[in-house]
Amino acid sequence: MSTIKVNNISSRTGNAISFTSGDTITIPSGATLTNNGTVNNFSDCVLISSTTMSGSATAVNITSGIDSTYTFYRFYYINVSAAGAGNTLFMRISSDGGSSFISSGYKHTGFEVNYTGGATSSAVQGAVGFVQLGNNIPNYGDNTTEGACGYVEFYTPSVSRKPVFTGLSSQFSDNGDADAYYWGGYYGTATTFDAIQIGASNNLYGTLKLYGYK
Amino acid sequence: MKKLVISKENPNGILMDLTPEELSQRELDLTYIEELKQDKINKEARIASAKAKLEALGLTTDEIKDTFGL
Repeated sequence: MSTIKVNNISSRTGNAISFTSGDTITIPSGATLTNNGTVNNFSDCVLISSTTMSGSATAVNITSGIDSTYTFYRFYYINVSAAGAGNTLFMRISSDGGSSFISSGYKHTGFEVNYTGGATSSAVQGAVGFVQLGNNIPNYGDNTTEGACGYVEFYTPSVSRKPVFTGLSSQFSDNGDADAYYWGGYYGTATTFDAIQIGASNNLYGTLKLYGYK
Repeated sequence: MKKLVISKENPNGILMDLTPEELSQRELDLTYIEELKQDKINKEARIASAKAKLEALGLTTDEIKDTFGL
C-alpha cells in the first residue's frame, strides 16, 4: 500500500472527503479528532438547540427540530430564574409550527417535596392549562447564580396520539428552601406536535437545551 | 412584552413582540397561575388545620407525621 502525505486537503465541491460503503476510518491512539462544526448521526443523542435567556422575554418558542427524526426528546432547563417572585415555569405544545400553542386540555400532575433544612412538607400539584415545570422558581433579583434545574421528556411527537410528558426539577425556592418536583401527564387529545413553548409569569433567565434521542 | 422565537433560520432566537392574542393569553395565564397558587395555599391551610386538631386530641408531632404523613 502506498501512502500520500499532505498538509491539507481542500474541497473543490461541497464534500471534502467521500467514502464508499465498507470503508473504515481508524483514529489511532494519541490522535485527536476535533469538531468545530456540526456533527450529524454520530451519536444516539444529538443537541438540537441551545438557548440563552437573558431576561428579555416571558416565553421561548422552539419551532424547529421537533419532528420524526428522533424517538424521544429531552429538554433541559438549567439555572432558570425569572424576574419577580412567585413565578411558575410551564411548557405548552404546538401543532402548527409555533403559530399558536395549546392552552387547555392537559392533564398534568406532580409531587412536590419541600425541605427548609429543618422540616419537610409535600404537595400534589395538578394543572390543565399547561405542563407545569416548576412553581415558585427562584427570583432572578435575589441571586443571579441560582435557579431551577430540570428536564422534560416527550416522545414520538410526529405520531398522532395523546402526547405524554415526564420530568423532574430541583431548585432553591424564593425563600431558600430545597424543592424537588417529580411530575408527569399528557395532553388529552390525540395530536402530533412540532414546537414547544416555555413560559413564565415574568421575563426568564437561564439556559435551555433540547436533545433528540434515537 | 416579548417572546424569543427559535427557528432553523434563527437558531439563536429572534425577539418578537407578543401579538394581541398572545397578550390576552398571557393575562389568562397569570390569572390561572394565581388560581393554582391559591389552591395550594388552601390545601396547605386544610392540612395545618387537620394537624392542629389531631394535636388537640393528644397525638404528638411524630405520631401525626408517621401515621398521616402531615
